[in-house]
Amino acid sequence: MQELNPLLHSQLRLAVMSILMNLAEADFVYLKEKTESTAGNLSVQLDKLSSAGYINIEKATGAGRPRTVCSVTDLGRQTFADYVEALRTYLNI
Amino acid sequence: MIERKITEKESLEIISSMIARTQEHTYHSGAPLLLMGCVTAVTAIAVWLLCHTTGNAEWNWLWLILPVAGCFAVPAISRRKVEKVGAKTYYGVLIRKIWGAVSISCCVAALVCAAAELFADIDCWKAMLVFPIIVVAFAQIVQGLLIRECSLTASGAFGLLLGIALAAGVAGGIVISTYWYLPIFVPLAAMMIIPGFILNQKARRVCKN
Repeated sequence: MQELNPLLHSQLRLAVMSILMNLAEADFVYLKEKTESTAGNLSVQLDKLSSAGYINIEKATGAGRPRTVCSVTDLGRQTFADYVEALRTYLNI
Repeated sequence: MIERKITEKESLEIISSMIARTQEHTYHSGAPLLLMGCVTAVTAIAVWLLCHTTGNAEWNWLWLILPVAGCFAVPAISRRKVEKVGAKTYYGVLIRKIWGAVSISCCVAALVCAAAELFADIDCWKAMLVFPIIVVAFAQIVQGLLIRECSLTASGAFGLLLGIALAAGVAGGIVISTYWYLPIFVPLAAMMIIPGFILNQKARRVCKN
């Protein structure tokens, strides 16, 4: 049986990846609101996903205030698809 | 949300729950359509009035306001919406690219007509009466189908029919004068304003909930 990717098999990182898979991009505030997480924890998990090459993090300026914009990479998209496939075999669905 | 070990079943629940949350408060703004509709109506009325009162056809250059508004004002409105919501959907990106292509193709067509007149003394401005109507209508139909907004698809279909009829008329040698501007462009503007207004009403309802 295919092993579940340990980097994705975590509550907050999986939540972030699930959101980003459905959007072209999302900013830090949006992710924080949707995942109901703290800024510190979210920031740490985003760095982990970024270091693994699963997401891109860009600093953008809009309407005078800086925004941290995240988007999923091709590697992240493939990894997430593999994770869901592995999950299907575990749950027999 | 805290960091803890999760089961496979919980993983699936997280994925479903997050997908559902990204669907919440997703709306399509009608502001770009409203803006372009109003700019089209005002430009058509202004060109018609100025051409008739001064008798100078040079006022037709005012039509260039339309592709310029499409290239600069509409992306600015879209950017503001993305900053307000905090996320960009794939549909949103696709729709922006479609309208960007429409604006650029209209600018290029205007430049080709201007170059033909300046360098070869060929008057092909009639093409500019038909081409933007057809491409804008086509973009409206595509956007309407993508976001499942019937009013947008219907207004695009109306514009496309009008564009095809005009193309047939131009090809058949019918002389199109400035008298045609108001009966052609004001209904076309309304066909952008009406779905734009409907989309904004729906967006307001989504934001309230």
